[in-house]
Amino acid sequence: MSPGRCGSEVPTEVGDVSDTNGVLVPVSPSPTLEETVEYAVDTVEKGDGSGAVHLVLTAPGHHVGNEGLDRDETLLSTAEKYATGAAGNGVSIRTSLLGTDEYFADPVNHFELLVDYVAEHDLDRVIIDPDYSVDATAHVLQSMETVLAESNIRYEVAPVSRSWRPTGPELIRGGVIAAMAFGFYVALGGPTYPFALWTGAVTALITAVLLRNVAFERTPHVGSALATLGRGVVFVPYLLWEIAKANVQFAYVVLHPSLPIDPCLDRVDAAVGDGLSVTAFANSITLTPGTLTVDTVGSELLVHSLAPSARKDLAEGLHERAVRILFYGREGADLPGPLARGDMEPVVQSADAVAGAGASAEAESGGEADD
Amino acid sequence: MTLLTAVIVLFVALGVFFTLVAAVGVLRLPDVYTRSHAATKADTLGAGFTIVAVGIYFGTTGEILRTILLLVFIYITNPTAAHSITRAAYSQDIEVWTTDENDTTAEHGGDSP
Repeated sequence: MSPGRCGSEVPTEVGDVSDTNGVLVPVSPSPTLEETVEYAVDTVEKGDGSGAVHLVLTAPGHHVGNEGLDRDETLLSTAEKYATGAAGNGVSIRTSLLGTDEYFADPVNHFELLVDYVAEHDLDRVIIDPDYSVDATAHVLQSMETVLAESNIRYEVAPVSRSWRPTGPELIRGGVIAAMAFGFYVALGGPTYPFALWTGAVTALITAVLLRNVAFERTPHVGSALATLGRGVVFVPYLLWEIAKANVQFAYVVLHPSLPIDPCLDRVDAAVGDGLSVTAFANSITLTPGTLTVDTVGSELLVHSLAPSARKDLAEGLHERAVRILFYGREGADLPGPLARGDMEPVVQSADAVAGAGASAEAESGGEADD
Repeated sequence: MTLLTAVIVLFVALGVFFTLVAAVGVLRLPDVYTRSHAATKADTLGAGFTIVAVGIYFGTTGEILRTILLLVFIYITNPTAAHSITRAAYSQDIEVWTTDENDTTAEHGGDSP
Protein backbone atom coordinates (compact mmCIF):
# COMPACT_ATOMS: atom_id res chain seq x y z
CA MET A 1 0.00 0.00 0.00
CA SER A 2 2.20 2.84 -1.18
CA PRO A 3 0.73 6.26 -0.61
CA GLY A 4 1.23 7.20 -4.25
CA ARG A 5 -1.60 4.93 -5.43
CA CYS A 6 -4.52 7.13 -4.66
CA GLY A 7 -6.42 7.45 -7.92
CA SER A 8 -9.60 5.82 -6.85
CA GLU A 9 -11.69 6.77 -9.91
CA VAL A 10 -9.36 4.87 -12.23
CA PRO A 11 -10.47 1.25 -12.47
CA THR A 12 -6.98 0.00 -11.88
CA GLU A 13 -5.43 -3.38 -11.59
CA VAL A 14 -7.56 -6.28 -10.56
CA GLY A 15 -5.01 -7.95 -8.26
CA ASP A 16 -5.87 -8.73 -4.71
CA VAL A 17 -7.65 -5.47 -4.12
CA SER A 18 -10.65 -5.40 -6.39
CA ASP A 19 -12.21 -8.51 -4.99
CA THR A 20 -11.94 -6.86 -1.63
CA ASN A 21 -15.16 -7.16 0.17
CA GLY A 22 -13.69 -5.23 2.98
CA VAL A 23 -11.64 -5.54 6.07
CA LEU A 24 -12.46 -6.68 9.54
CA VAL A 25 -11.51 -4.76 12.63
CA PRO A 26 -11.95 -6.61 15.92
CA VAL A 27 -13.21 -4.05 18.38
CA SER A 28 -12.05 -3.91 21.96
CA PRO A 29 -12.01 -1.13 24.53
CA SER A 30 -8.48 0.02 23.88
CA PRO A 31 -6.97 3.51 23.77
CA THR A 32 -5.82 2.97 20.20
CA LEU A 33 -9.23 1.95 18.87
CA GLU A 34 -9.83 5.26 17.10
CA GLU A 35 -6.51 5.20 15.27
CA THR A 36 -6.97 1.57 14.29
CA VAL A 37 -10.43 2.21 12.88
CA GLU A 38 -9.15 5.23 10.97
CA TYR A 39 -6.29 3.17 9.59
CA ALA A 40 -8.74 0.48 8.46
CA VAL A 41 -10.95 3.03 6.71
CA ASP A 42 -7.84 4.44 5.07
CA THR A 43 -6.78 1.02 3.85
CA VAL A 44 -10.13 0.41 2.18
CA GLU A 45 -10.11 3.83 0.57
CA LYS A 46 -6.60 3.26 -0.78
CA GLY A 47 -7.81 0.00 -2.26
CA ASP A 48 -10.70 0.31 -4.69
CA GLY A 49 -12.55 2.45 -2.23
CA SER A 50 -15.74 0.46 -2.38
CA GLY A 51 -15.19 -2.16 0.27
CA ALA A 52 -16.71 -2.17 3.66
CA VAL A 53 -15.15 -1.84 7.07
CA HIS A 54 -16.59 -4.48 9.35
CA LEU A 55 -16.36 -3.56 12.98
CA VAL A 56 -16.86 -6.73 14.96
CA LEU A 57 -17.11 -7.14 18.68
CA THR A 58 -17.08 -10.60 20.19
CA ALA A 59 -19.13 -10.35 23.32
CA PRO A 60 -20.03 -13.70 24.77
CA GLY A 61 -21.62 -14.03 28.16
CA HIS A 62 -25.07 -12.64 27.58
CA HIS A 63 -26.69 -16.02 27.72
CA VAL A 64 -29.85 -14.72 29.28
CA GLY A 65 -29.00 -11.94 31.64
CA ASN A 66 -28.12 -9.22 29.13
CA GLU A 67 -25.56 -8.16 31.70
CA GLY A 68 -23.29 -5.61 30.12
CA LEU A 69 -24.90 -5.87 26.70
CA ASP A 70 -25.57 -2.14 26.55
CA ARG A 71 -21.91 -1.46 27.39
CA ASP A 72 -20.88 -3.55 24.39
CA GLU A 73 -23.38 -1.77 22.18
CA THR A 74 -22.03 1.59 23.31
CA LEU A 75 -18.49 0.50 22.52
CA LEU A 76 -19.53 -0.67 19.09
CA SER A 77 -21.36 2.55 18.27
CA THR A 78 -18.34 4.55 19.44
CA ALA A 79 -16.19 2.58 17.00
CA GLU A 80 -18.79 3.20 14.30
CA LYS A 81 -18.68 6.93 15.03
CA TYR A 82 -14.89 6.93 14.60
CA ALA A 83 -15.27 5.08 11.32
CA THR A 84 -17.97 7.27 9.81
CA GLY A 85 -15.99 10.31 10.87
CA ALA A 86 -12.99 9.09 8.89
CA ALA A 87 -14.77 7.50 5.94
CA GLY A 88 -15.33 9.17 2.60
CA ASN A 89 -17.95 8.10 0.09
CA GLY A 90 -18.07 4.53 -0.98
CA VAL A 91 -16.71 3.03 2.18
CA SER A 92 -19.52 1.46 4.06
CA ILE A 93 -19.32 0.67 7.72
CA ARG A 94 -20.88 -2.42 9.19
CA THR A 95 -20.96 -3.41 12.78
CA SER A 96 -21.88 -6.65 14.41
CA LEU A 97 -21.89 -8.27 17.79
CA LEU A 98 -20.92 -11.93 17.79
CA GLY A 99 -21.38 -14.79 20.17
CA THR A 100 -23.73 -13.07 22.56
CA ASP A 101 -25.50 -16.31 23.45
CA GLU A 102 -22.39 -18.29 24.27
CA TYR A 103 -19.86 -18.46 27.05
CA PHE A 104 -16.19 -18.83 26.24
CA ALA A 105 -13.55 -19.88 28.70
CA ASP A 106 -10.77 -19.45 26.17
CA PRO A 107 -9.83 -16.35 24.16
CA VAL A 108 -9.17 -18.61 21.17
CA ASN A 109 -12.95 -19.10 20.89
CA HIS A 110 -13.25 -15.38 20.25
CA PHE A 111 -10.78 -15.60 17.40
CA GLU A 112 -12.58 -18.56 15.90
CA LEU A 113 -15.72 -16.45 15.75
CA LEU A 114 -13.75 -13.82 13.86
CA VAL A 115 -12.35 -16.44 11.48
CA ASP A 116 -15.86 -17.68 10.73
CA TYR A 117 -17.01 -14.14 10.14
CA VAL A 118 -14.17 -13.48 7.71
CA ALA A 119 -14.98 -16.65 5.78
CA GLU A 120 -18.68 -15.91 5.73
CA HIS A 121 -18.29 -12.39 4.36
CA ASP A 122 -15.29 -13.24 2.20
CA LEU A 123 -13.25 -10.42 3.66
CA ASP A 124 -9.86 -9.44 2.42
CA ARG A 125 -7.96 -9.04 5.64
CA VAL A 126 -8.08 -8.42 9.34
CA ILE A 127 -6.68 -5.24 10.80
CA ILE A 128 -5.68 -5.70 14.37
CA ASP A 129 -5.50 -3.10 17.04
CA PRO A 130 -2.13 -3.63 18.77
CA ASP A 131 -3.87 -3.07 22.09
CA TYR A 132 -6.64 -5.54 21.32
CA SER A 133 -7.70 -7.57 24.30
CA VAL A 134 -10.62 -9.79 25.10
CA ASP A 135 -12.20 -7.37 27.50
CA ALA A 136 -10.36 -7.43 30.80
CA THR A 137 -7.79 -10.08 30.04
CA ALA A 138 -4.17 -9.37 29.25
CA HIS A 139 -3.23 -8.69 25.69
CA VAL A 140 -3.70 -11.71 23.50
CA LEU A 141 -2.28 -10.46 20.24
CA GLN A 142 0.13 -13.31 19.75
CA SER A 143 -2.40 -16.10 20.06
CA MET A 144 -4.76 -14.18 17.81
CA GLU A 145 -2.08 -13.91 15.15
CA THR A 146 -1.46 -17.63 15.45
CA VAL A 147 -5.13 -18.47 14.91
CA LEU A 148 -5.40 -16.12 11.93
CA ALA A 149 -2.21 -17.46 10.36
CA GLU A 150 -3.41 -21.03 10.78
CA SER A 151 -6.64 -20.17 9.01
CA ASN A 152 -4.74 -18.51 6.15
CA ILE A 153 -6.29 -15.15 6.77
CA ARG A 154 -4.28 -12.09 5.96
CA TYR A 155 -3.85 -9.73 8.82
CA GLU A 156 -1.86 -6.70 9.72
CA VAL A 157 -1.31 -4.89 12.93
CA ALA A 158 -2.34 -1.28 12.59
CA PRO A 159 0.61 1.10 12.90
CA VAL A 160 -0.65 3.32 15.68
CA SER A 161 1.17 5.36 18.22
CA ARG A 162 1.05 3.58 21.52
CA SER A 163 1.26 5.13 24.90
CA TRP A 164 1.66 3.80 28.39
CA ARG A 165 -1.26 5.79 29.67
CA PRO A 166 -3.66 3.45 31.44
CA THR A 167 -7.19 3.41 30.08
CA GLY A 168 -10.29 4.13 32.13
CA PRO A 169 -11.28 0.47 32.55
CA GLU A 170 -7.72 -0.35 33.56
CA LEU A 171 -7.86 2.30 36.26
CA ILE A 172 -11.16 0.92 37.53
CA ARG A 173 -9.83 -2.64 37.67
CA GLY A 174 -6.58 -1.54 39.26
CA GLY A 175 -8.44 0.54 41.84
CA VAL A 176 -10.74 -2.33 42.77
CA ILE A 177 -7.80 -4.71 43.12
CA ALA A 178 -5.82 -2.22 45.24
CA ALA A 179 -8.80 -1.65 47.54
CA MET A 180 -9.42 -5.38 47.93
CA ALA A 181 -5.77 -6.20 48.52
CA PHE A 182 -5.38 -3.46 51.11
CA GLY A 183 -8.63 -4.40 52.84
CA PHE A 184 -7.53 -8.03 53.01
CA TYR A 185 -4.14 -7.05 54.41
CA VAL A 186 -5.69 -4.92 57.13
CA ALA A 187 -8.28 -7.57 58.00
CA LEU A 188 -5.69 -10.31 58.23
CA GLY A 189 -2.82 -8.53 59.93
CA GLY A 190 -4.60 -5.72 61.74
CA PRO A 191 -1.66 -3.31 61.51
CA THR A 192 -2.05 -0.08 63.47
CA TYR A 193 1.24 1.78 63.17
CA PRO A 194 1.92 4.02 60.13
CA PHE A 195 4.88 2.10 58.74
CA ALA A 196 2.82 -1.09 58.32
CA LEU A 197 -0.04 0.82 56.74
CA TRP A 198 2.25 2.59 54.28
CA THR A 199 4.07 -0.54 53.21
CA GLY A 200 0.69 -2.26 52.90
CA ALA A 201 -0.59 0.50 50.65
CA VAL A 202 2.52 0.30 48.46
CA THR A 203 2.17 -3.47 48.18
CA ALA A 204 -1.52 -3.12 47.26
CA LEU A 205 -0.55 -0.64 44.56
CA ILE A 206 2.06 -2.99 43.09
CA THR A 207 -0.48 -5.81 43.11
CA ALA A 208 -2.97 -3.60 41.31
CA VAL A 209 -0.48 -2.65 38.62
CA LEU A 210 0.58 -6.25 38.04
CA LEU A 211 -2.87 -7.83 38.08
CA ARG A 212 -5.01 -5.13 36.46
CA ASN A 213 -5.39 -7.16 33.28
CA VAL A 214 -5.47 -10.57 34.93
CA ALA A 215 -7.79 -10.59 37.91
CA PHE A 216 -11.09 -9.75 36.20
CA GLU A 217 -12.85 -11.30 33.30
CA ARG A 218 -14.89 -8.19 32.67
CA THR A 219 -14.34 -4.73 34.02
CA PRO A 220 -16.44 -4.50 37.15
CA HIS A 221 -19.37 -2.17 36.92
CA VAL A 222 -20.11 -0.36 40.16
CA GLY A 223 -23.90 -0.58 39.90
CA SER A 224 -24.21 -4.25 39.07
CA ALA A 225 -21.34 -5.20 41.39
CA LEU A 226 -23.13 -3.52 44.31
CA ALA A 227 -26.41 -5.18 43.36
CA THR A 228 -24.71 -8.58 43.23
CA LEU A 229 -23.05 -7.90 46.57
CA GLY A 230 -26.40 -6.93 48.07
CA ARG A 231 -28.09 -10.08 46.76
CA GLY A 232 -25.09 -12.04 48.05
CA VAL A 233 -26.18 -11.11 51.58
CA VAL A 234 -29.29 -13.20 50.92
CA PHE A 235 -27.55 -15.83 48.81
CA VAL A 236 -24.87 -16.81 51.32
CA PRO A 237 -27.23 -17.70 54.21
CA TYR A 238 -29.46 -19.52 51.70
CA LEU A 239 -26.48 -21.52 50.46
CA LEU A 240 -25.35 -22.25 54.03
CA TRP A 241 -28.86 -23.46 54.86
CA GLU A 242 -28.91 -25.70 51.76
CA ILE A 243 -25.49 -27.06 52.70
CA ALA A 244 -26.60 -27.84 56.24
CA LYS A 245 -29.83 -29.47 55.05
CA ALA A 246 -28.12 -31.58 52.43
CA ASN A 247 -25.41 -32.57 54.90
CA VAL A 248 -28.01 -34.06 57.21
CA GLN A 249 -29.37 -36.09 54.28
CA PHE A 250 -25.83 -37.09 53.41
CA ALA A 251 -25.14 -38.22 56.98
CA TYR A 252 -28.32 -40.31 56.83
CA VAL A 253 -27.25 -41.98 53.59
CA VAL A 254 -23.70 -42.69 54.75
CA LEU A 255 -24.69 -44.02 58.15
CA HIS A 256 -27.62 -46.09 56.85
CA PRO A 257 -26.74 -49.80 57.03
CA SER A 258 -27.72 -50.55 53.42
CA LEU A 259 -26.01 -47.42 51.98
CA PRO A 260 -28.92 -46.27 49.74
CA ILE A 261 -27.00 -44.56 46.94
CA ASP A 262 -27.64 -44.49 43.19
CA PRO A 263 -24.82 -42.49 41.55
CA CYS A 264 -25.41 -40.87 38.17
CA LEU A 265 -23.38 -38.66 35.90
CA ASP A 266 -25.18 -35.94 33.93
CA ARG A 267 -24.19 -33.27 31.49
CA VAL A 268 -25.83 -29.97 32.33
CA ASP A 269 -25.72 -26.85 30.20
CA ALA A 270 -25.95 -24.04 32.71
CA ALA A 271 -27.89 -20.92 31.82
CA VAL A 272 -25.29 -18.61 33.29
CA GLY A 273 -23.12 -16.23 31.39
CA ASP A 274 -19.52 -15.68 32.40
CA GLY A 275 -16.61 -17.17 34.27
CA LEU A 276 -17.63 -15.89 37.67
CA SER A 277 -21.22 -17.09 37.50
CA VAL A 278 -20.23 -20.47 36.06
CA THR A 279 -17.71 -20.85 38.89
CA ALA A 280 -20.30 -19.84 41.48
CA PHE A 281 -22.74 -22.33 39.99
CA ALA A 282 -20.22 -25.17 39.80
CA ASN A 283 -18.97 -24.55 43.32
CA SER A 284 -22.44 -24.28 44.81
CA ILE A 285 -23.26 -27.62 43.18
CA THR A 286 -20.14 -29.14 44.70
CA LEU A 287 -20.71 -27.58 48.12
CA THR A 288 -24.19 -29.02 48.40
CA PRO A 289 -23.57 -32.63 49.35
CA GLY A 290 -25.01 -35.12 46.92
CA THR A 291 -23.85 -33.34 43.80
CA LEU A 292 -20.32 -32.80 42.53
CA THR A 293 -19.03 -30.94 39.50
CA VAL A 294 -16.59 -33.26 37.77
CA ASP A 295 -15.69 -31.29 34.68
CA THR A 296 -16.59 -28.07 32.90
CA VAL A 297 -16.40 -27.10 29.27
CA GLY A 298 -17.56 -23.53 28.87
CA SER A 299 -20.95 -23.42 30.53
CA GLU A 300 -21.41 -27.18 30.22
CA LEU A 301 -20.91 -28.98 33.49
CA LEU A 302 -20.47 -32.66 34.14
CA VAL A 303 -22.20 -33.35 37.41
CA HIS A 304 -21.96 -36.49 39.51
CA SER A 305 -24.88 -37.05 41.83
CA LEU A 306 -24.96 -39.47 44.71
CA ALA A 307 -28.65 -40.06 45.17
CA PRO A 308 -31.87 -39.45 43.20
CA SER A 309 -33.00 -36.63 45.51
CA ALA A 310 -29.84 -34.61 44.85
CA ARG A 311 -30.19 -35.29 41.15
CA LYS A 312 -33.77 -34.06 41.21
CA ASP A 313 -32.69 -30.77 42.83
CA LEU A 314 -30.19 -30.33 40.04
CA ALA A 315 -32.71 -31.16 37.31
CA GLU A 316 -35.18 -28.68 38.71
CA GLY A 317 -32.55 -25.97 38.72
CA LEU A 318 -32.40 -25.34 42.47
CA HIS A 319 -28.79 -24.13 42.45
CA GLU A 320 -29.07 -22.58 39.04
CA ARG A 321 -31.98 -20.40 40.09
CA ALA A 322 -30.13 -19.18 43.17
CA VAL A 323 -27.03 -18.29 41.15
CA ARG A 324 -29.14 -16.60 38.48
CA ILE A 325 -30.90 -14.50 41.09
CA LEU A 326 -27.49 -13.62 42.51
CA PHE A 327 -26.13 -12.34 39.22
CA TYR A 328 -29.17 -11.25 37.23
CA GLY A 329 -31.68 -10.18 39.85
CA ARG A 330 -35.18 -11.37 40.46
CA GLU A 331 -36.20 -11.82 36.82
CA GLY A 332 -33.37 -14.35 36.49
CA ALA A 333 -35.49 -16.85 38.39
CA ASP A 334 -38.11 -17.09 35.63
CA LEU A 335 -36.50 -19.99 33.85
CA PRO A 336 -37.41 -23.66 33.95
CA GLY A 337 -34.83 -26.10 35.28
CA PRO A 338 -32.19 -27.70 33.02
CA LEU A 339 -34.25 -30.87 32.56
CA ALA A 340 -37.38 -29.02 31.41
CA ARG A 341 -35.24 -26.86 29.09
CA GLY A 342 -33.62 -29.94 27.57
CA ASP A 343 -30.20 -28.85 28.77
CA MET A 344 -29.58 -31.96 30.85
CA GLU A 345 -28.62 -35.36 29.53
CA PRO A 346 -27.46 -38.42 31.41
CA VAL A 347 -23.96 -39.73 30.69
CA VAL A 348 -23.79 -42.63 33.10
CA GLN A 349 -26.78 -43.90 35.01
CA SER A 350 -27.91 -47.15 36.53
CA ALA A 351 -30.71 -49.29 35.16
CA ASP A 352 -32.80 -48.31 38.15
CA ALA A 353 -32.42 -44.61 37.38
CA VAL A 354 -33.34 -45.22 33.72
CA ALA A 355 -36.46 -47.07 34.82
CA GLY A 356 -37.28 -44.30 37.27
CA ALA A 357 -36.83 -41.56 34.66
CA GLY A 358 -38.86 -43.56 32.14
CA ALA A 359 -41.67 -43.99 34.61
CA SER A 360 -41.81 -40.32 35.46
CA ALA A 361 -41.64 -39.35 31.80
CA GLU A 362 -44.57 -41.66 31.10
CA ALA A 363 -46.47 -40.15 33.96
CA GLU A 364 -45.88 -36.68 32.55
CA SER A 365 -46.26 -36.97 28.83
CA GLY A 366 -47.63 -40.40 28.01
CA GLY A 367 -44.41 -42.22 27.48
CA GLU A 368 -41.44 -42.10 25.21
CA ALA A 369 -39.19 -44.23 27.32
CA ASP A 370 -36.11 -45.15 25.37
CA ASP A 371 -33.45 -47.37 26.88
CA MET B 1 -20.14 -24.00 82.75
CA THR B 2 -21.78 -20.97 81.31
CA LEU B 3 -24.24 -20.79 78.45
CA LEU B 4 -21.42 -19.63 76.19
CA THR B 5 -19.38 -22.72 76.98
CA ALA B 6 -22.40 -24.89 76.27
CA VAL B 7 -22.85 -23.24 72.85
CA ILE B 8 -19.15 -23.73 72.07
CA VAL B 9 -19.32 -27.38 73.09
CA LEU B 10 -22.43 -27.85 70.94
CA PHE B 11 -20.72 -26.41 67.87
CA VAL B 12 -17.56 -28.46 68.43
CA ALA B 13 -19.68 -31.59 68.87
CA LEU B 14 -21.56 -30.89 65.60
CA GLY B 15 -18.23 -30.30 63.89
CA VAL B 16 -16.85 -33.58 65.17
CA PHE B 17 -20.02 -35.40 64.15
CA PHE B 18 -19.94 -34.22 60.52
CA THR B 19 -16.20 -34.84 60.25
CA LEU B 20 -16.84 -38.36 61.52
CA VAL B 21 -19.57 -38.79 58.91
CA ALA B 22 -17.05 -37.71 56.28
CA ALA B 23 -14.55 -40.31 57.51
CA VAL B 24 -17.18 -43.06 57.56
CA GLY B 25 -18.28 -41.99 54.09
CA VAL B 26 -14.75 -42.26 52.70
CA LEU B 27 -14.54 -45.80 54.04
CA ARG B 28 -17.99 -47.00 53.02
CA LEU B 29 -18.62 -45.44 49.62
CA PRO B 30 -17.64 -47.49 46.57
CA ASP B 31 -15.56 -45.35 44.16
CA VAL B 32 -13.45 -42.21 43.84
CA TYR B 33 -16.36 -40.00 42.83
CA THR B 34 -18.67 -40.96 45.65
CA ARG B 35 -15.78 -40.89 48.10
CA SER B 36 -14.82 -37.38 47.18
CA HIS B 37 -18.41 -36.39 47.94
CA ALA B 38 -17.69 -37.52 51.48
CA ALA B 39 -14.12 -36.31 51.76
CA THR B 40 -14.81 -32.75 50.78
CA LYS B 41 -18.30 -31.89 51.83
CA ALA B 42 -19.40 -33.31 55.11
CA ASP B 43 -15.97 -32.04 55.98
CA THR B 44 -16.94 -28.55 54.88
CA LEU B 45 -19.79 -28.41 57.35
CA GLY B 46 -17.67 -30.07 60.04
CA ALA B 47 -14.91 -27.51 59.62
CA GLY B 48 -17.55 -24.78 59.45
CA PHE B 49 -19.04 -25.69 62.84
CA THR B 50 -15.62 -26.02 64.43
CA ILE B 51 -14.52 -22.64 63.14
CA VAL B 52 -17.73 -21.02 64.39
CA ALA B 53 -16.91 -22.49 67.82
CA VAL B 54 -13.40 -21.02 67.62
CA GLY B 55 -14.82 -17.61 66.69
CA ILE B 56 -17.22 -17.66 69.64
CA TYR B 57 -14.47 -18.80 72.00
CA PHE B 58 -12.12 -15.94 71.15
CA GLY B 59 -14.92 -13.45 70.77
CA THR B 60 -12.92 -10.35 69.78
CA THR B 61 -13.77 -8.53 66.56
CA GLY B 62 -10.38 -9.19 64.98
CA GLU B 63 -10.49 -12.91 65.70
CA ILE B 64 -14.06 -13.27 64.46
CA LEU B 65 -13.14 -11.47 61.25
CA ARG B 66 -10.22 -13.83 60.75
CA THR B 67 -12.27 -16.95 61.42
CA ILE B 68 -14.86 -15.73 58.90
CA LEU B 69 -12.05 -15.31 56.37
CA LEU B 70 -10.90 -18.84 57.17
CA LEU B 71 -14.40 -20.08 56.51
CA VAL B 72 -14.60 -18.18 53.23
CA PHE B 73 -11.39 -19.77 52.01
CA ILE B 74 -12.44 -23.25 53.06
CA TYR B 75 -15.68 -22.76 51.16
CA ILE B 76 -13.83 -21.70 48.05
CA THR B 77 -10.95 -24.19 48.10
CA ASN B 78 -12.87 -27.26 49.21
CA PRO B 79 -15.19 -27.59 46.19
CA THR B 80 -12.29 -26.62 43.94
CA ALA B 81 -10.18 -29.46 45.34
CA ALA B 82 -13.06 -31.94 44.97
CA HIS B 83 -13.55 -30.77 41.42
CA SER B 84 -9.89 -31.18 40.49
CA ILE B 85 -9.61 -34.63 42.05
CA THR B 86 -12.67 -35.99 40.30
CA ARG B 87 -11.75 -34.23 37.08
CA ALA B 88 -8.39 -35.97 37.14
CA ALA B 89 -10.14 -39.26 37.80
CA TYR B 90 -12.58 -38.67 34.96
CA SER B 91 -9.85 -37.79 32.49
CA GLN B 92 -8.09 -41.03 33.46
CA ASP B 93 -11.29 -42.84 32.38
CA ILE B 94 -12.02 -44.17 35.82
CA GLU B 95 -15.47 -45.64 35.58
CA VAL B 96 -18.38 -44.28 37.50
CA TRP B 97 -19.77 -46.83 39.91
CA THR B 98 -23.50 -47.44 39.54
CA THR B 99 -25.94 -49.66 41.35
CA ASP B 100 -25.88 -52.03 38.34
CA GLU B 101 -22.38 -53.16 39.25
CA ASN B 102 -23.58 -54.08 42.68
CA ASP B 103 -26.44 -56.10 41.18
CA THR B 104 -24.30 -58.16 38.82
CA THR B 105 -21.93 -59.23 41.55
CA ALA B 106 -24.88 -60.14 43.73
CA GLU B 107 -27.80 -62.36 42.72
CA HIS B 108 -29.47 -60.25 39.95
CA GLY B 109 -26.97 -60.57 37.13
CA GLY B 110 -27.58 -61.25 33.50
CA ASP B 111 -29.84 -58.82 31.68
CA SER B 112 -27.23 -56.20 30.86
CA PRO B 113 -25.15 -56.95 27.74
